[in-house]
Amino acid sequence: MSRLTDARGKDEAHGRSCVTIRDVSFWYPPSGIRSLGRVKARLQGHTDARLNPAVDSISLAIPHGATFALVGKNGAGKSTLLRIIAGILRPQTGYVHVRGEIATLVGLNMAFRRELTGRENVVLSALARGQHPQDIKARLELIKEFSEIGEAFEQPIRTYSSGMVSRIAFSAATSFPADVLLVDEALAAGDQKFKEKAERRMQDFISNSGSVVMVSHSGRAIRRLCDSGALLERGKLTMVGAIDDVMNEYESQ
Amino acid sequence: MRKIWHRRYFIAATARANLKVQHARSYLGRLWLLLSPLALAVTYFLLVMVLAQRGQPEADYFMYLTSGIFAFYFLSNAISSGSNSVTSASGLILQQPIPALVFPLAALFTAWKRFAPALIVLLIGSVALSTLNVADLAPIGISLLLLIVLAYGISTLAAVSQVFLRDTASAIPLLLRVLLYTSPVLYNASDLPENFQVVSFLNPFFWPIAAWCSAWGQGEAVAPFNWLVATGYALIIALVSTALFLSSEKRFATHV
Repeated sequence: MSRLTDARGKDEAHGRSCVTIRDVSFWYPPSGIRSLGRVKARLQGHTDARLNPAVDSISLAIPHGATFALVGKNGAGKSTLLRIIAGILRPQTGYVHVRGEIATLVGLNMAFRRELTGRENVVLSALARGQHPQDIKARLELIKEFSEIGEAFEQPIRTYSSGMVSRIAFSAATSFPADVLLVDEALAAGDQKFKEKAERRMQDFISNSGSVVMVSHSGRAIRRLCDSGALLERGKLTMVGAIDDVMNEYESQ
Repeated sequence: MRKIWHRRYFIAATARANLKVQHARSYLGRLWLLLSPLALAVTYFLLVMVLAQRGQPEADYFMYLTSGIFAFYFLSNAISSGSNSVTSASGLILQQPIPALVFPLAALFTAWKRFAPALIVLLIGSVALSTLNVADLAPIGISLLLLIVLAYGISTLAAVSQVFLRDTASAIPLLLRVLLYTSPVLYNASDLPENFQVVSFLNPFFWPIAAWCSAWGQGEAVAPFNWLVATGYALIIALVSTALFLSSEKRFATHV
């Protein structure tokens, strides 16, 4: 599958890049857009101040097979850029081309329904990704086993601890093949033992020639898993290079 | 459309999950899907057939009234749940790229699954009261199809509106009440006073419900003009709402 979000309507030769980003900018809409107060303010002649772009004219090519980190302080635009790559957010300018099937580990626990069991939630989230029911059925026991939650798998999610929810979400999201894995702080799932297990699974994915784009505040995990990265500051790309160089620059700020 | 088709299992599974969640902590669970229309039909039967103590014409009226109420509940359920379908799926929308049209479609399928047992009740009632002829099946089928298309169109429109204007969900019950009183559910379409006819003409529910109720209750088809308007309303609303939904979809992730 190839996804092209193109403001200029052109598909290009992207070489060996799995992700190509060209001149992408993104603004979040002003808050309070639906309130009567805002209508009143407009009638009184006040206008909305234009917000700074969350992502500002970024161009970037991530090579196939790379384990790439997006690094920066809170509010730098890392998660927004990751969601743009995933196709969740559409940029106002520029385009993103992703070569291959995408899997996202973004906001792991958000989509679960509390009244449904772990099994039902796993099935539903995999179906939402477009997986076939037979493929899901074939992997359900492996997902249950990897998450280590035992018979709780058949209980409603409302009875789970937050760690259990994270484990099951991570297991479900990483159990189906993908060409590009997009990860936003997902390695924070579960306890220390599970975190190590999650990192091993990520390394397995990478060694199976997939590409990973990762956002994390864990410098240690980034240095261990990633080979290259980009530093973002207030929506702008300030550096692209080997992961040690990027992390050294980030940590010196 | 290919992406939507690819998610057909998700739509079906979401509808199943919606029903399960709605009845999660009730003792009788999904049995209520059958019990509710049955209880409603028995109530109307007692009111129309037993307390009034009249003969066959009341059987027609009973079927007319019950089928109209059930059809209205189907539309009402589809629109109410459809209006919240996108905003309540914010977790999924912010988590992965997914064609958002699957959410109003899942809400529509949920409403259909709630409506299906009512259809069984209607069929049993009409056979027991001998009000249904084989010739009625075609208008029943066509009007049902129009009701489904109309429900899809209005619920999709409501879903878009709710994303950008959260007052929509509060306004919908009010709108549905107006639509109920201006639809030929509690009265026969031909009994409508002349000065109300303009209001009914503007009501998209009026035409398919008139066709549906007449087929169940009176055994005679409505005029071709009625079919034409019903089809026109259903198709135009469905097409316009789909176009609006697809053109707005790219902004959903920042507004849900």
